[in-house]
This record gives sequence, structure tokens and C-alpha cells, in this order.
Amino acid sequence: MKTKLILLSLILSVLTSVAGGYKVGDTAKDFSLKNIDGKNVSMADFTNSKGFIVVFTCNTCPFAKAYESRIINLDKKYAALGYPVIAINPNDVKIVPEDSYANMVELAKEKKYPFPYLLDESQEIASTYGASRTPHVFVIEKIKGANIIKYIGAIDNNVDDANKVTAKFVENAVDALLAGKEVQLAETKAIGCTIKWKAN
Amino acid sequence: MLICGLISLLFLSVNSQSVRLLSSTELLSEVNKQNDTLYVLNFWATWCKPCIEELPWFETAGKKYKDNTVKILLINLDFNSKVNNQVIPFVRKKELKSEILHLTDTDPNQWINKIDSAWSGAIPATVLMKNGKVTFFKEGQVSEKELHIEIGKQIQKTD
Repeated sequence: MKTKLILLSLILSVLTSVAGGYKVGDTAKDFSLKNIDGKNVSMADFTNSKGFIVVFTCNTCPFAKAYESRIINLDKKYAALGYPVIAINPNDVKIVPEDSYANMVELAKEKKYPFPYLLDESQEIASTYGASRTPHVFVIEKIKGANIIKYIGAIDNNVDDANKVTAKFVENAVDALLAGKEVQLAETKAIGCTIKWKAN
Repeated sequence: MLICGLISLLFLSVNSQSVRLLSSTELLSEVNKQNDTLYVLNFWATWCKPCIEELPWFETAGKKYKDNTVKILLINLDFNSKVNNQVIPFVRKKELKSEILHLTDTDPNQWINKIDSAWSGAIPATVLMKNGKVTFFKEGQVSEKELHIEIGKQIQKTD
């Protein structure tokens, strides 16, 4: 019976991943991915955090570049409040050579990233989460030891001009969680570069 | 010299492709018309490599189906600040013949779902619409064969 249940849940988890990744309310899988300092980072390493701002991003996409300083500011504002940024680059380096690990290290140094910048070399995490573009944000709240997804989408509503932003989607979500409230707008969409998946 | 310059300027503006600016509301009302026209929408940007690779397939389709009620719309999503110095020169250099639109909206969350709820917002994305209904949607690069098959399915019904 137990093995049957395990098998069933395995099949179900495969099915849900095929069906396009996580939805708001799902439990996010932890990861162990190589950071720019060569050491692996997991969500479990952050014993004192209340949650995470996980950002799938890369070195090259113009949207990732346009949002870079805003991602840095998110970490500066929210890491101390319990919601650190964890950035993950999922792009296949064969398709985009400039998204290499060496370039990640260089970029993080140059721009003084205050957060981990991890390489999802197998693309398993991006695929499991259902990330499709860069940047693509998943706000996660720790509830009784589980990592629950509370927001999926864009950083704000104006990539072109930070001064003309009228809705800070991620900040609003994290502020709501910090205040013990439900996230009002839990899912948003944005234009972005497709994640460059490995050829099968 | 001046006259020469003026003439060549005039010549350039007559012969070179232009980029029509419009809002998502204007685009949606245009492609949702009940006029039996098959609208082929391709969302692209100059910075998007897979987009640029597939642009020629839409150009070829435009030529092939020019006698059918098919309208190819290449909808540019570069930043508004890049239209003059990046998009227009690109369109002229590539000598694109299809109609080029540029969406001026800055908040995609307001309109992506109105195009197709299956679209995450990643580009390229291709949508075929007829009489207000989406007949085909693809996020990521479309294959040229797939494009012709999907257009073919829709024009056989009316033409």
C-alpha cells in the first residue's frame, strides 16, 4: 500500500511538473545549487529567514539587466526583514555562451550582488518551478518548515522606467506576508526573454 | 547638394518600412474584428535571438498568402525608448515587408491574458486569430512548417 502511494505521488508530481510548474499555494522544492563563490546554497541554509524572494534571471536578457538594480534593492530592503533574494540562472550556456558561470561570477562581483547567484545547470529547478522567462519571481513563505509559494510573476509594472512604476508587485506581496496578510495580487505576467532550455 | 539630400530623404521615407505605434486596447480591437480575416500575430523584439531567427518565416508566409484574407502583424515589444534608435533601423536594414506594430503599453500584466491566457509573457510568441477566436497559440519559436499548416487550416475554411 505504502509503495503504491509513493508511486502514485511520484506519478502525480511528474504530471504536475509537466502541467507547467508551481501554482500559488504549492510547496516549493528546496535546491542545492552552486553559488558564485563555488559553494552550494539551499533554502534550508537560511535558518532564520521567514521566506525568500527567488528570482530566475540571467546575465544577458535586457529585461534581467533592466531589473538588476531593482533586484539588488529588493535584497537590501527585505533580507534584513527575513526575505532574502536568491537569484538563479537557468539558461543553457550552449545556447547563450554569455550566460556562463564565469560570467555570472564576474557580473556578481562587478555589480556587488548582495545575494547568492546560483547556477541551475541541469535546469531541473527552473523546470520544476515552472519558470518560463527571465526575470521570473517566486515569493516563498516558510510555514511550519514548508516553503509555500505566495506570489509568482513580475517585479513591478514598468520594466522600461523604474520611476514610472505604479504597482510594485513583489514588494506588495512581501509587505503583505510581513504584515500577516494574504497577498492581494498573487500572480502577474510580464514580457521577458524565454529561458533557454537545453535541446533534448 | 541640399536638393539632392531632400530628394533622397523623400525617397527614403516613401520606400522604407514604418513602425505603427499603438496601445494594447487598439491592437485587441483590431484583431478581434469579425471580418473572416486570419490575423497572424507574432510578438518579437530586436534583442530576442529566436524571434529574429523566425521573422523570415512570417515574411515568406505574408508573400505566400497575399491573395488570401490573411494579415501578418509583427508586434514589436522593445522598450518604448528604443523605437527610434533601434527598432526602426532594424526594420529598414532587414527590409521587412510585413506590417510592423509597436505596443506602447508599459504594463504587460494588463494585456497578456487578453491575448491568450496560456501565454506567460515570454517571447517569441505567435497567435493566430480569426473572428475573435484564437485558433493557434505558441510560446517560443514556431517551426516554419507548423506555421504554414496552421495558416492553411484556417484559410481552407473560407477561401
